[in-house]
Amino acid sequence: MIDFQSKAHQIAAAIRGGKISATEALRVSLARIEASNPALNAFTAVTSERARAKAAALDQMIDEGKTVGPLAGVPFAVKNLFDVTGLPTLAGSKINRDSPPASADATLVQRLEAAGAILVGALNMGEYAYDFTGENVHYGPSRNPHDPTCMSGGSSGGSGTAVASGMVPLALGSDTNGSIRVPSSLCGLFGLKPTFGRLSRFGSFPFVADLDHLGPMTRSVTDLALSYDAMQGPDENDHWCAQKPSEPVTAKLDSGIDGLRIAVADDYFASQGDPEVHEAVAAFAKALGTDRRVTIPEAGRGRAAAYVITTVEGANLHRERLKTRPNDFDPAVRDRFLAGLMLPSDWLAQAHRFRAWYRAQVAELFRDVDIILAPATPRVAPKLGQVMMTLNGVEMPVRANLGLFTQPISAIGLPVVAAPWAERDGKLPIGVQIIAAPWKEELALRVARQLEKNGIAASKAV
Amino acid sequence: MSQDTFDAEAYLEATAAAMNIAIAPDWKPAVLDNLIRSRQIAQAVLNFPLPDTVEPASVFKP
Repeated sequence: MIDFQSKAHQIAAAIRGGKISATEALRVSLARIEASNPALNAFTAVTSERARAKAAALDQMIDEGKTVGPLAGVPFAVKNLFDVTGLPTLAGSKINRDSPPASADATLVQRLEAAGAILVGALNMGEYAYDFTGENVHYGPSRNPHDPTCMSGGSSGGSGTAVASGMVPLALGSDTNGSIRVPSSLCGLFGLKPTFGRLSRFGSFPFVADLDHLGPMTRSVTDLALSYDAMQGPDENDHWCAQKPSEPVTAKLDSGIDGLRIAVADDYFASQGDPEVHEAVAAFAKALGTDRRVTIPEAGRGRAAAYVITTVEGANLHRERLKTRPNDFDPAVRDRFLAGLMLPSDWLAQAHRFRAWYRAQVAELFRDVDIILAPATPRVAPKLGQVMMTLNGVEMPVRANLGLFTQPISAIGLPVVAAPWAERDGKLPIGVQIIAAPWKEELALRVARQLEKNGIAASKAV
Repeated sequence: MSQDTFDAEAYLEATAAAMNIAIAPDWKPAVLDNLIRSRQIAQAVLNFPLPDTVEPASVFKP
C-alpha cells in the first residue's frame, strides 16, 4: 500500500508492477498536501491539474504495455526558483511575482518527468536564496514538520517541509552555501549536493553563478540515487554544466564500503557546534569502523571566501532591483545585499584566488582519504523568529551561521550527501555531511546507503 | 600593524553616492552592521598570503 510514508522507489515499483495506478499515487500526495500544507506552508503553488493529466497519460501508457521510467508516477515538487511552465519563477520574492510566467520547465524538471516523475507544485523558500532559516517575510515561514514552531532551515525550506511531512517523497532544492544540506539536517532528510557543474542549472533563477548547485532531497538514499541518475548529463544551455556523460550510481549503491578510506574532519569542524552534533558524527564514524581524523586546511577561510563571493555577486545580480524596488525586498535580505554592493572589488578577486588555493589543498587531502565526515549544521532547528543563537558560549546571528559547516565545502564544489542520524529518540533531527572528492558522488551515496542499511541513518515522514 | 581607522558610515555614504544608490535612514544601521561584519569576515581571506601564481578558478570559454 502507498501512503505518505512511502519512498519514491516504493511508489515507482508499485506503479510499474501494476499494484496501484499513478492516478492513485497522485491522489495520496495531493490529499496529504491538502491536509498538511495549511499548517506547514511548504507550497506556494500546487499544479494539480497538470499533475492529473500527467498521471492519466502515464496510466494509459502502462495499460498499453509501454515502457515507463524508473520514477514512474513519483510525485515531486521543486523550490520555486525552478521554472515551471505557466508560473512566474518567484525565487521566494515578491518582486518576481511581476515576472512573466515561465514558458518552459527547468531542465531538471524536464528530466525527472522524462523518467516518469510527476510535478505537483512549487515550494516556498528564503527570498532570493540568501537564507539558512526557511523564513519568508512575503509568504510566511515553511515550518518544520518535527515541530512546527521551529525553522525548516533554508533556503530550500519548503523542500524540507514538503518531504519531511510526506506531502511528496522527492523535492528539488538549490545549494549555494548549504541550502540543501541545512534543511535536510533540520528536517531529518537525505539531501544530495552534487559536484559543482554536475547538474544543469538551466531554467532556474540564479543567486551566485560561481557557487550555485541544484539537487534532490528525499527520505531514502535509493531515492537520491534514482533522481540524481535521472537528472545527470550535459546541457549545452548551461555554460557552467560540465560536459560529462552521465555516470549512473543506482546499480552500484549496494556495493558496500570495503576499501574506502573514511575520516572525520577535525579542527574547524570539531571545535564548534552543540555536543549532539558531534555525537551524530561519532555514531556515523563508529558504524563505519573508522577512528581516523583529517584536517581540512583553512576551512574557516574557505567559508570566508564563499561569504565574500556570495555577498558581492548576489548583490550585483540584484543591483537594479535594489535601486528601483528596495521596499519590496525582505528588509533583512535587502540590507545584506546593500552591504554586499559596497565591498571593494579587491576583496572579491582575493576571495576567488583564495578559493583556488584552498581547492588545491583539499585535492591533496583526497589523495589519502575517500570520504570525510563532518557535521551538517551546528545545532538542531532553532525556533521560528529566533535571530541570535549561542554556540560554544558565543552569541551569533542564526541566519548567517546555520551554514558554517556547509559553506566551506560548497565553496570548492565538493559532492556531499547530508544524512539524518537515526537515533534521535523524539528529539529534533540532526544530519551529518558525507563528503567526497569532486565527481565521486557514487562514494558518498554508497556510504550513506551503508549507514541506512545499518540503521544509523534514517528518515521518516511526520 | 597599523591602527584600524575604518569609518564604516563615511565609507557607506561615499560608496552609495558613487554607485548612485539610496540608503534610507532607517535601513542604515542594519546595512552598517552587515558592512562591518562582512569586513571582519573578509579579513580572514585578505590576511592570508597567496603566491603570485594562484589565479582565480573561474574559467571563461570563448
